[in-house]
Amino acid sequence: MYVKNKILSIISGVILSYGQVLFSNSFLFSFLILLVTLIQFNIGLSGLICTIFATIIAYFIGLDNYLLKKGLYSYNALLVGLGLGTFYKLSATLILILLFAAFFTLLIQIALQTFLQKHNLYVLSLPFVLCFIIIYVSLRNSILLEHFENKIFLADYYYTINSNILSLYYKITDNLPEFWILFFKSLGSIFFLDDIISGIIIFFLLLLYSRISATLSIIGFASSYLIIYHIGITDKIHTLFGGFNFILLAISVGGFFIVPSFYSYVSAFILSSMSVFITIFFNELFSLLQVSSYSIPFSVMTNIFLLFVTNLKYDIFKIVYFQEFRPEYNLYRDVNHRKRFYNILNSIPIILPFWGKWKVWQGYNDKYTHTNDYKYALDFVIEENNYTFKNNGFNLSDYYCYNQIVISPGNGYVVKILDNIKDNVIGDINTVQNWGNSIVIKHAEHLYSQISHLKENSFLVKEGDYVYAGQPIARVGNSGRSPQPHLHFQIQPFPIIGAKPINYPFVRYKKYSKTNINTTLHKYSIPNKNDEVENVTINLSLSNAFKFLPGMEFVIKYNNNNYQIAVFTDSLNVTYLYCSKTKSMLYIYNDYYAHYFTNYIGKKSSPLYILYLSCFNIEFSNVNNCKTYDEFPIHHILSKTKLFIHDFISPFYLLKRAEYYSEHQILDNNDILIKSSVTVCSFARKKQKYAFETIVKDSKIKVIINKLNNKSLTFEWKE
Amino acid sequence: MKKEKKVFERPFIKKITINVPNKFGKTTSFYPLQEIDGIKIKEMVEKYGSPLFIISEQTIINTYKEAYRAFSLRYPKVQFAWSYKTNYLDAVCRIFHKLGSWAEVVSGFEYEKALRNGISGDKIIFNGPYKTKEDLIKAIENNSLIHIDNFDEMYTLFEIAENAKKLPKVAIRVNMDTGIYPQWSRFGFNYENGEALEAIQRIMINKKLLLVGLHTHIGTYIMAPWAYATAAAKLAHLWVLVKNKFNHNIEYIDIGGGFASKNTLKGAYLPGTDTCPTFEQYADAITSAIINSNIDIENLPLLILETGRALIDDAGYLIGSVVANKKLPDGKPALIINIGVNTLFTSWWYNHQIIPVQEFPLYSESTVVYGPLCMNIDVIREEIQLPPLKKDDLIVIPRVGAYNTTQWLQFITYRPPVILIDTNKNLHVIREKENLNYISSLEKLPDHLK
Repeated sequence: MYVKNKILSIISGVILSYGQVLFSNSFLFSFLILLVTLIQFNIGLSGLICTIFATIIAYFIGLDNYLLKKGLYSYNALLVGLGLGTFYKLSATLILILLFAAFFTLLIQIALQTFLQKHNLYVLSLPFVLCFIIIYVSLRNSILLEHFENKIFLADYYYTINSNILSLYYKITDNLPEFWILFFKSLGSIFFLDDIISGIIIFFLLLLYSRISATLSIIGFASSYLIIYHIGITDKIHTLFGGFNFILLAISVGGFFIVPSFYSYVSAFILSSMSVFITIFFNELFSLLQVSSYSIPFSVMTNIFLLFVTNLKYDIFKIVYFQEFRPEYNLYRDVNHRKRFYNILNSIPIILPFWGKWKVWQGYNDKYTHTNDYKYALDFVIEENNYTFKNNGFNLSDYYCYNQIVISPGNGYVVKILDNIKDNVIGDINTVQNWGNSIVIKHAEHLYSQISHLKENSFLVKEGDYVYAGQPIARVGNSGRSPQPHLHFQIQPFPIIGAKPINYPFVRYKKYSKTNINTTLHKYSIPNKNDEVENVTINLSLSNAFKFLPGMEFVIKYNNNNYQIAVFTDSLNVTYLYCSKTKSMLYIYNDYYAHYFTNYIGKKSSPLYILYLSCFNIEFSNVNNCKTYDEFPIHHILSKTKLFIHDFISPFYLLKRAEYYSEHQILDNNDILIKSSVTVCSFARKKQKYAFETIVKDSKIKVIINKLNNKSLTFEWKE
Repeated sequence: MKKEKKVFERPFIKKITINVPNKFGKTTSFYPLQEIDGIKIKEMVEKYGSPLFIISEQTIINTYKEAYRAFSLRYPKVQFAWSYKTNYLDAVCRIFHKLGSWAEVVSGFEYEKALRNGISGDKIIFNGPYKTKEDLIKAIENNSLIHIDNFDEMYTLFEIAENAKKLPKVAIRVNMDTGIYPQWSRFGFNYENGEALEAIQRIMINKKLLLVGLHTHIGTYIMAPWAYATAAAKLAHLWVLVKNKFNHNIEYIDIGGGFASKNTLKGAYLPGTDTCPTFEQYADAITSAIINSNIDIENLPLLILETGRALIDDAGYLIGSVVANKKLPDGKPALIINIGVNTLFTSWWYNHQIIPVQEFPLYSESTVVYGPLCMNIDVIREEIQLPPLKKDDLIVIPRVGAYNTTQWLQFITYRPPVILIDTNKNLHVIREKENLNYISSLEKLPDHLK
């Protein structure tokens, strides 16, 4: 088993190296490219040998297995191998050199990576260029190596394979416009295959793999082609290996490192034309060594642009944080992720600083004191029948909120308490001790909450105490600038009383309707003036059912098969479910009030996929008729073929959406029934694609029924 | 124009003292009560007769809101359950259900009444020491919360659960020493001697019942909020024991009822209006005891309150009229009113306030108030300061909402009608005045007596 895994990861590393050159991690795509390179057998084989060497070495010196499996350690070696195969015939000597080259490339890559990573730069194919030039220049005078000449006499080579290929070759070169000939040649030359047929095959493979990459490759090449013609340096485009820099640059900037959009397309266009100059410059520079600059312009320009983008104030360009290795998916995932988790993921939850129903007396940006620097603050009072007080309101104790319990709005340390300020008489204000008795709690670095106008000597905690969300900390008073008892609440980045507040939402609260009967749940939002709000409580058995702790194991029965599922946490502290049988992974996020699945990696036949669809977002709140709406990344729902055309226009406009809906109800026997559905919307047409019923029993998920085909998933939990 | 006849005032003698006024002042400290919720009492009596029970919906709503506010501002999960035995007039129950209260019943009869009032089974708490097997089966079918009072009841439940389709949801009734006298030890299982824990363990190990709650009812008319704090802390301790031993989250803690109302108990030195703790005081004691217990804040159980008396007492008024004035042999003035101990049942334990409806003179004198029954024990107040009243004058007895319309007796006279003043000041008869047909409708005559 262990040996099998070892061999599998090496094979995976070798094959995926081919895809990585074009920013892909698809096995099929990579394998087909591998086959294409073998058309020119000498080149292809030496590339393959070098890749195998590099992967094996990388494995045995113990580099990161994940990156190794993805081919990220060996794609540079592949390029070196391909390059050497272009110039020399395969022989025992060359194999020895390939072994050396593989090791050398790996060394350089790791060295460069270590150095560049710190500055948020990517190595791309720099190690290949460095290593290849060094080896190529030093081997120039070798007497043992035989030069490989197929490259120069390409027609002859085709003839030796098959005469039909030769005629096809001529047919293509004779009929195709110059632009396309050059384009396909450039595309092929990424893999040192400087012929049209390989180029065309690679282009169609690329088109099948990613519509956006294919579009970008044309855009990149076209823009440089235009510039070259307009400046009048047409002879330069024929210089060896010049064209692919523009293609790779366009793909990397237009869709791989940056989420595809109108702007990324424009920047791909502009950058490609700009890099014409850089390419010429580097070529001239390297001509001292009598070599080409290979992919240096692409590597340099990509890094330059990415550094530029990170410093922009407005996020016109969205950097890809989770690499899907396919521009379409980067796009779908990013759009979806922003919609779902903008400002949410790993934020510190802050709740209202009280129990029960209170009213917002002064909201954000109000007309009295919450203006200018202090516009991000809230004042709360309790109101009954439009009055904040009973009797005549002359006494503090007439006010409903006076002397009420104040709770900590989040977990954290009490950093500051100001006490011993007398309560004002009703109507008076104390502007000398403006904030009155106040408390500041530290929830995280640069996240403090301040609560003010508290009652003198009412603090239930002291400075330095750790408090939990919901823990009583003091009582409401009327101290400081407070004409009537009320609660002032603000979130601020500094621990000083009266620091300038910041805009920070409450994780959950419920808002009462005008008639006071219905409540609506608000997530990550800020109440407005005159809203009547209250903290929400959660259904514990529902929340426990979705508590996935690392180390937990369970079995899902599906289609008469048993699937072992285990819970793991990765190095980024993200929890995921792993199904060993289908090798699928389901990523989880839980913000205490709701459960979210953030990502799914694996086949659609896996039971985890059904779990992903049915329990995409479950709200635990006890608010009546709590309905949850959410949206899937479209590529998780629709197949590639259904999105084929959609992919072309997706950077500009998303026509299709996959909506998720769920609600839960408590059944008679205390079980919880979760109804959920997935609806695909394209234009105005809506079509329900899935409908599920999930049953939670005794704080565990028991069964998920797919209502459309009545198949079910049964869960068996280990004690 | 006819000249209005001047009101006759009965003369009486009062000793004049010339020293400084004592701390109780010198005059009566109350004013006539002429209207309830803005509606003239005289008009109501003209329409519905005397005596007359009046219930104010607005007062119920205000009191409920005050109580709910006091608890909900201190604790995240609060639920009130209307104690049916306190006042199970359908209209009253429905007001509470509309406000969000569950139902707390103590017999099969009350259980049926609760169901008829439209409350769903899972929101009915079935309390009390006597539940028949049929009652229990019905409660299980409706998913009601069954509060187990004794081991025999538990065995019956185990027996029913064997064949029941549903898992019965149960709670344990716990009695305990909360430091007050008298200690109520007859309801449920004792905390101090470990009986409660044993009961819990039997349920947890048997697994035929689902333990969802812990309940206690420490007493009635408890004037000491700290006693509730002790009770809540002890229940919280049981909660933690169960959590630690069985990793089971008990869903709720039911602290029972027993909050005092503003009525004055017989034998009390100061009036109830001065000594009765506020809802805030009770809430402070109970919630802080639970929050400061070892229950982690994330798992805080639902807090259920079965307060009856304190929620309804203020909303009830009893209107009666003076039947006769009398002079007792010892010279003490006495008053006979048309309200007897059969109608005003709570007069057995309260010194009810009696307020005249019409204007009255400055001075009052110590009076005995008798009911209309031909029974020596029919005394409403043995001694009360009242201004002179005439025959047919109206009087109001406030704070009679609790227990009177459930414990009253049909004895000698017909029971009076009950009127509800709704929030829009409309009057509704919610219980008709009894008549001969009603009372004799259940009677059967043997043939030979016809």
